Amino acid sequence: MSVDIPEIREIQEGQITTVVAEDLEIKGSIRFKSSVMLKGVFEGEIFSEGLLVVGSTARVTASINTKTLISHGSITGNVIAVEQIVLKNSATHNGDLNSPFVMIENGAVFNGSCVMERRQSDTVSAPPVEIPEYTEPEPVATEESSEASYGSENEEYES
Amino acid sequence: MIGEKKASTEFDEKDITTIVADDLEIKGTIRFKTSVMLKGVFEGEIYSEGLLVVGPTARVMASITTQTLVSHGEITGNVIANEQVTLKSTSIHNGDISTPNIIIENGSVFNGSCAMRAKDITVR
Repeated sequence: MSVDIPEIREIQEGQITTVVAEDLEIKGSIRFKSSVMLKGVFEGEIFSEGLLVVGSTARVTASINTKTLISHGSITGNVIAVEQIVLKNSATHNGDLNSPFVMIENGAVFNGSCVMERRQSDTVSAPPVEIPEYTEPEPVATEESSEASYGSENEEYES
Repeated sequence: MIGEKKASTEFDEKDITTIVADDLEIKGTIRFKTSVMLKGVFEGEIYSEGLLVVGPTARVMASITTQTLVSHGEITGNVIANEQVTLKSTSIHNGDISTPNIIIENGSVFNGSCAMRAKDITVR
């Protein structure tokens, strides 16, 4: 089984677009595309197409949909990550994980279930249904052109 | 909180008391106190007070009770480890895991649930 294992990226705080500090408490839902680091308390829902980093001081109670999750902190809730989940050694996770790649470091606490479906069958699955192309109806041929085309067809046929 | 972790999960094959080679198929129950490495096919139950190593060629369908489990291979079944479970990068695990310490390496596959209750009690 050869699969491309995504690299574990070491995250520099400076590279992260938004850093939510320890003293900030958020209730509600957040949506982002690039990267967010949570260090405070969060409760609600997270929808992300990028990287979510949960800092070691963070307490997150949320259902999380993301591309990549790196957790150093405490998360309660279910996580779906399209790319990867990394639970660092200080992480506590209570809830289910669903991701093709999961890495749990020594020291991390994980209570929940884990589903890792690798989409290997994608290549085997049926090809997409072909949509017949819409062709413009041919303009009504004039007498001249129809004769010409007829002639050329005949030539081809003979040769 | 995170205190005496096992320093390393690396070990020498020579240090393991019993090595079951990859051409051996066992059905039934095994019980041991020190260490066993399975490289073949095993079906049944494993009771251990020591170290169980599942080699990369192994296919194990068993309910496992052990002190420590290090898996490089394929396991189907539930595992209770009193000390630690390590799923190496080549491993595939289908089943539940109950242990105070778990390491899942990048690349390994784990489908099942994981319970690590012991730690919650010891916290502060």
